[in-house]
Formats: sequence, C-alpha cells, structure tokens
Amino acid sequence: MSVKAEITSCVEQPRIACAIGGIYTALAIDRVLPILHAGPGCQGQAGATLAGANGGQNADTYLESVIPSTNFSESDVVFGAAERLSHVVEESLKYYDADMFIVSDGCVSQIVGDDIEEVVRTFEGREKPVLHASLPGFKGNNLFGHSEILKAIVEQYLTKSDHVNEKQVNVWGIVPFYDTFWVATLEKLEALLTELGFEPNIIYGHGKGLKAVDKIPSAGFNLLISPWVDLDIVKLLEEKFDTPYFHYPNIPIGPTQTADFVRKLVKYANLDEVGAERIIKREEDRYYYYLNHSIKFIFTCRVTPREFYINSSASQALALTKYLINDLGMTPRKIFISEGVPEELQEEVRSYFNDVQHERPEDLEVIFTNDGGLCDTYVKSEDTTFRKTAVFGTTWDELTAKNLKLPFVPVSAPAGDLMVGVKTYFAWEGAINLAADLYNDAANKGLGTVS
Amino acid sequence: MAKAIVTQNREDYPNTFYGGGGCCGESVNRFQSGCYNNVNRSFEQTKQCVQMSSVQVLTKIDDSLCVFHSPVGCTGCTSFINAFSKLLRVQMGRGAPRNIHYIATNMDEHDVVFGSTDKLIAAIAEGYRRYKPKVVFILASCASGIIGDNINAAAKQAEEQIGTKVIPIHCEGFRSQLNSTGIDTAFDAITGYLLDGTHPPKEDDLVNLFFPQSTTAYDRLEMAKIMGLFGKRANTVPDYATVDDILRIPAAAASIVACYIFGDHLAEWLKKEYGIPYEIIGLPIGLKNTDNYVRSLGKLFGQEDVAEAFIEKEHARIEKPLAELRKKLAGKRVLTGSGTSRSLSTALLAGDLGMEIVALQTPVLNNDVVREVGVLSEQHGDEFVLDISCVQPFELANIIKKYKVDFLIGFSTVSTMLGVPGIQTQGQYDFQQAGYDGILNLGEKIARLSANPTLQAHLRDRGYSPYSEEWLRKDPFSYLKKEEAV
Repeated sequence: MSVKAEITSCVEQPRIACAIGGIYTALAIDRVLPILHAGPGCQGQAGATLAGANGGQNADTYLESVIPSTNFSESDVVFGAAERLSHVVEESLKYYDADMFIVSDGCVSQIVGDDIEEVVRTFEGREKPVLHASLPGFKGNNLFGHSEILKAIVEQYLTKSDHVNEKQVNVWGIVPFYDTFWVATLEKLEALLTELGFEPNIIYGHGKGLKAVDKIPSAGFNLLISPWVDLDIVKLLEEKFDTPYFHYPNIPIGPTQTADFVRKLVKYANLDEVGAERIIKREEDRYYYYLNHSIKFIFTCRVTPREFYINSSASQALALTKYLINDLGMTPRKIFISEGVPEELQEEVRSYFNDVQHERPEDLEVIFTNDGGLCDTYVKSEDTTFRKTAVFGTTWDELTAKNLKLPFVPVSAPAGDLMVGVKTYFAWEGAINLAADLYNDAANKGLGTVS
Repeated sequence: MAKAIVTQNREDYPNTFYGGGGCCGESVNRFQSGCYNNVNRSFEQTKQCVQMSSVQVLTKIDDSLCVFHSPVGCTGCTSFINAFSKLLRVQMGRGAPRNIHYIATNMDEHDVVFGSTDKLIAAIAEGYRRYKPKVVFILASCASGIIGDNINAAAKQAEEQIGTKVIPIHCEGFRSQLNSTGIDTAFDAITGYLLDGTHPPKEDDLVNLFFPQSTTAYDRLEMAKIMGLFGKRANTVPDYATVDDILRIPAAAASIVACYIFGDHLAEWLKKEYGIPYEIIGLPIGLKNTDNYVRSLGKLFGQEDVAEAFIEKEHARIEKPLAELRKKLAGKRVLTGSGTSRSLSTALLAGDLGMEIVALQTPVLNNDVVREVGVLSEQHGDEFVLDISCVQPFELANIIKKYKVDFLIGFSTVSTMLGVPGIQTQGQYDFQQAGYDGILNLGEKIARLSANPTLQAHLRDRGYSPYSEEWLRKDPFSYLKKEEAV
C-alpha cells in the first residue's frame, strides 16, 4: 500500500494555524492564561482560523483580546525583549485571576534569540505555576503547538502520583478549538465513558481546569482517540508515569464504529461486557428509530448524494469515511487530509482507512497535503450535472459546493461564520445530526423534494 | 529589482502620538503647547499587526492575488476576512460571493535559515496558474523581514516570468506600533507601482471615495447615493473594486477621504501628481460628520446651495424620531472606542443622542483628533478620559468600572463581561450607520440594547471578568512609562 502525498510548494485557504495556535489548547483549560512573547498580530491570525471563523468560538475564561503580549516592535527585533517579557509576566501574575501561566513565544522571538526559558526560570517558586512553550510558526502548525503546550504541562508541571486509580481514564486526541465540535464531543464522550463504568478525566472545557490536570498521573490508562495527534503525549505519559494507553484511531461516528469502539475499550479495560452490549443495543435501536423516522425524506431526495469528497483534519476524515461507507452506504471520491500529518506517520494513518466495509479499501484515494485549496481544484473540475457528490470540508469549500449545487457539511476548521452550539457528530446521536445536516443541505439546494 | 518604496510609519508622522492617557483637557493642552510626549505601555494585551491591515486592503481588490511570504499561520486572518468579504461583495453589488484569492509560501525552519525566495517565485507562478490575476501582491512577514529575503528582487523576477505586475508590500508585522501603517503601505504600493505615470482620460463626474475597511456596504452605498445629488458618481476604492477601478483613481475630479488615517496619504499624492482636490472628513456617522460630508461635496463642486437645502430637509425629516431617541438615552454615560475616526464619529453621535461622553479611546492623537475632541468638549466638558491606545481591554475595563460607564460604543465584548451593555460598531455588516438614516438606525439599536442588558448582567454575575479586583482599583494608566519620551 502506498501513501499518496501531493506536495505543492505553497498553500492556500488555511485549515490550520501556525504553532502559536497551540495557545488555544492552554485557553481550553479553565483558568490557564497564555502570555505571548510574539508579534502584535499573532494571536489574531491563529484565532481567525481556529476559533472565530471556526464555528464562532472564543476562549472562555480569557477572551483572546485580554491575553498579555509583548507585541514585538522593530527595536525589540534589534535589541531583544526578554526584559520587557519579564515585566509583563510579573504584572500578569499580579492582576490576572489565573491558576497557571504559560509563556509562549513565536517566530520573531525565536529568530532574534530571546530565551524565554531563562525568563520563566526567574518565576520558579511563585504561588502560581509559570511554564514556557516555544511556538514558532516556521517550526510547525497548530498541532505542533498543541503538542508543545501539553508537553510543557507534562514535563514542567506534573509529577508522578503515589497512587493509581484503575478506573480513571484520561482522554486525549481531541484538539480543543481546532476540532470544531470539541466541547460537545468531550461532554458526550464523558457521559458514555461514565456509563460504561470508567471515571473519565478530561482537562478541557467547562469546569475542568487544573484539578483535572493534576489527576493526569494517577490514571489507570490513557485513552487516545485520534489517528496520530497526541500519540506523542500518551507515549510521554507512559514513559514518565508508566501509564499505559489504549489507542482508537478516530472519534466514533454512527452505530458501526461506536459499537466497535465500546467493545474494544471495554475488553481492554476488563469492564462489564454485558452491560456494554446493553448500552450498544439501546443506542442502536434509538439510532435506527430516528433514521427510520425520516427514511422517506432521505430516499425521496431524488438526487440523494451517494459519493463524497472530504477535505478536513485526519481525525474527522477518518471518522466520516468510516461512517459514510459503513453506515450510510456511500462511496468516497477523494479524501484530502489538509493538516500536515508528519511524513513518518502517514502510512499508519492511511492504514486506518482500510477498516471499512468496502470491496477494495486499498483503492480509496487518501491524499495528504498542506494545501487546503487542492481539493477545490478537483471538485471544480468534475462534471456535476448529474453527479451530486457531497462535500465535507471547511468554510473555504462551502462556496465551491454552493456554486456547483453540491451538498455540503462543514466538519473541520475553519467551519465557518456560524455558532457551533452543542453540536457534535459523536457516536449514535451525533450521526443522526450529521445525516440531518447532509440531507437538509441537499434539500435546501433543491436536490430533492419531500413527496 | 522592483523599485523600493519606503512607507513612513504612522507613529513617525509629525504631531502624532500613539501612547498616552488621562484627562482630555489636560492632554489637549499639552498637545497644543507642544509638550506632549509619547509614552509606551510597559504592559500590553494582544493587538493587530501591520500585515493584517495590508491584507485587508489588498485581498479585497477583486482581480488581484496576494502571495504571503510567511509561515502558514500568518494567513490565518484570511479565514475571518473571507467570511465578511464574501458578504460585502454581494451587498456592494459586485457579483456572486467568492473566496478571496491568495496563496502562501508556507515558510518552514529550513527557509528561515537559508532563505526562500525560490519558493516565493514558485508560489507566485502557482497562484497565477490558479487565478490568472491582473496584479500580484507579495506580502512580507516578520520572518521574511528578519531573515532579509529580498522580495523586491523576487517581484521583478516573477513579473518577468508570468508577464503580470508583481508588487512587493513591506508589511512586516513588527515594523510599526500602529497597524494603520499597513494601510499606508498598501496604498503606497498602489500609487507607486500601479498608478504612477498613468494618465487615464479625465471623468468629470467621478469622485474617489476612500472608506476605512470597517465601513459597511450600506454605508458606502448611502454615501454614493448622496453624491448622486450633486450629479457625481462614486469610485469606491479600493475595497471590492477591480484593478480597472483602481486605475481610474487619477481620472476622478475629486477625492473624499472619510477617515483621518485611511487614504489621506493617497489623496494628498493625487493632489500633488494630478491636481485632484480632496476633502478629509470624519466617518459620516452622526449629524455633524454627515453634514460635513454633504458640505464638502457642495464645496468641491460649487453647489453649496444644494448641500444646504439637503441638510435642512434631512434634519427636518429625522428631527422627531431623534427627539424620541434622546428621551430614551438622555444622560447615559458612554465610552466610545475603536479606530480613530470611528471612535470620534460615534462619540459625536452619542452626543446627538443626548448621551454623555465619559471616556474616549483612540489609537492616535494628532491634529484631527485634537480638533474633534475640542468639538466634543463643547458639549461634554473637558474632563472626560482620553485613552490613546490600539484598544487595551484591561484599561477599558478599569475605566468602565471607575467611571461608571452605562454603555459602550466600540468593541462591545470589552464591557459585556462587566455587565455593561454595548454595541459593536466594527465588524457589523448588517446595517447602516452612516448618513441621516444611520443616525436613527444606530440610535434605535443603542436604545434597544441599553433597555435590556440582562445577558450582560448574567455574565457579570457569573464572574467572567479575568482581572483581579486589585487591578480594577488601580489607576487605569499605571503602565504608561511617564518618564520615557520617544
């Protein structure tokens, strides 16, 4: 099996932010405040793609506009600004109501050679922890930044726990903000894990914060739900705290994947398999009840989309591909993963796409690229007169789909200038939401009528 | 090599200050007696950068392509710009919505060490292949600026390769304290590379209308409509204009600049090079500035009588509903803030509505601002707070608490968490703020919002403010390094 990567020397239509976007992982943890040692616009650049234009999100405890920043000027570029940073940190400690501070620097600081680690060292022993993470945009994208922030927390803050709670499971792999639906997905996942008999520990979102972070080392195991993101983190946690990890390659969407996820997870953790089967049955019955409830609508969409393009994050692409093939009976045209998956991991990520009920899974075209605009060029070149391929992508793909009258669902950053609310496509109920969004858009574009 | 154009940073303009704060009367006195010193803040929150402003101007030129010579992150703002430019394009009647056209070199660690102009030239070629633009802009970044990639030489080389104008824009994010420098940088490039030496046939009924980017389509259309009363057509450039519209700029009979920091430079250049007269007015929001706009048209075209008749008619038309609004809003204590012109115009509008100005935030203090603050002082006294900053929410939060502000006009999120209602005046694209109807529209919206601040109160009660009480008790301008003169 070969990995197909189309490298263009340039990129357009960003589906990712640069490393500085990692601050959104810090912002997702209640009462953790990033302090920027970066250019004046860096936060805004990252925020547009990851938050504002990604489902109308903003940071919760600290609205982005309040983030302290040294706002590099021309003279700072010449003389450095480490001293000014030190002052900004000092004042932030005084006047911000926060539990943890993470000093993060960007391209400019890194190129001119300011040493934030040294600055942060002078704040050791203060009442509130002050950490540091370097997030230069030329080194990687927001997923690199996300990893740097988590590594900073694990390496500079956490210490080994003297006890292990076998039932406690830390959840990794869902990148806050970047995954448009992260809040509701984590909430639903937490509820499912609890019902299965676990004590889920999630550090992001409402009401979690440092008390959840502090519990990380005492987990029975780490649950990684993503094809590759956070694999480095669970490995680091294994190395540092001897915590094993269970890896499921994607957020499960729909009955087939979710049942598979639950069975594998319960088996791994030696939990009540009978109870789990009861939950699976109950939820599958509910899923098919809802689907049946609208089956006439679905099949009277006279041009019911049977094929699809995906242009999204790896995690979302994999979850969608499996659901659309395994549960909705659709066929992929091309799948673009536009988040810069590291080359050495691409083959493994590709292999997860074989886990579908398709005659020739190896024929699925999975394209790794940094260039979000690449998918667009393919979709535009299609004859779409009678072939209404659905497009799952970002707000950048929306217009192409609209102009060609193709059904479209935003599934990945930047999902658009809309409010995401409590939406998630996770598990059984989420799949109904997804199917509804798909068929509604088809109907709205006049691709079918209700008879 | 493409010729080098060096844009003067806004903060280096004579009599221009970008850091300060205090009582407005005192600030104005110091300014007028020539002893105002710029003071930098030793603590700041995040801002906008120069590049974002250049991007906002240039990506909206219809048949252009922007090539970002930067790490991928510096293109992030396009997600946001695209969201509203799709909308405004339609509202302006410029055709179906479409995504903005740009491409980035995706500068990585290797490029930062070894330089990457080859990649830049390849990106221009690829972007050209995808979009066939009439003009290409290269946007510099912090990274490309520091490592010293020669984008002027690259522009020249790419231009020869694709046979289309390629223009370098020196908008490194760190180069100026004021992001408005990015607007000047874009305009200087337009004049220096596109317009210089062109002599399109004169169009006597054409008037250039330079609006800041935050202006809504309805505002632009309203101003164009009023221009019609004088038998003139508006060339609303550069936003949502085509390259051809831009090439017609020197054909115009006059220019109107509806902002103190956007396009003034360009209008002056047009006067110098082509003898095109111009008037700088504030954003035509509120009675005084709308009248100003109408009068400046009358003056430019010798039709003062048309202007006065229209003003009288419009004042009479809105008199009654405006009086109703004044009854609802009388005495409300207001903070206005935003960009320089919007901040001042909305402050004047607040006065029209019978509200009381207690604080005004503006990014720049210069002659225009001092003049307008003088006008405001006639109505509101000279004790109100003047905050010279590119919006620093921590200072505004402090001021809102300390001066018991009832309503905020500007970036409303600043006050929301403190339980104080406000109206977002920038980034609102669904209504008309300018002109005589704009006064009523804004007034009605402000009256509605201030009548029901329950959501803001709920948020305040849940303790969403990020600052400690200690900060809110301190002097809001504690971080101005008073001793430091720049």
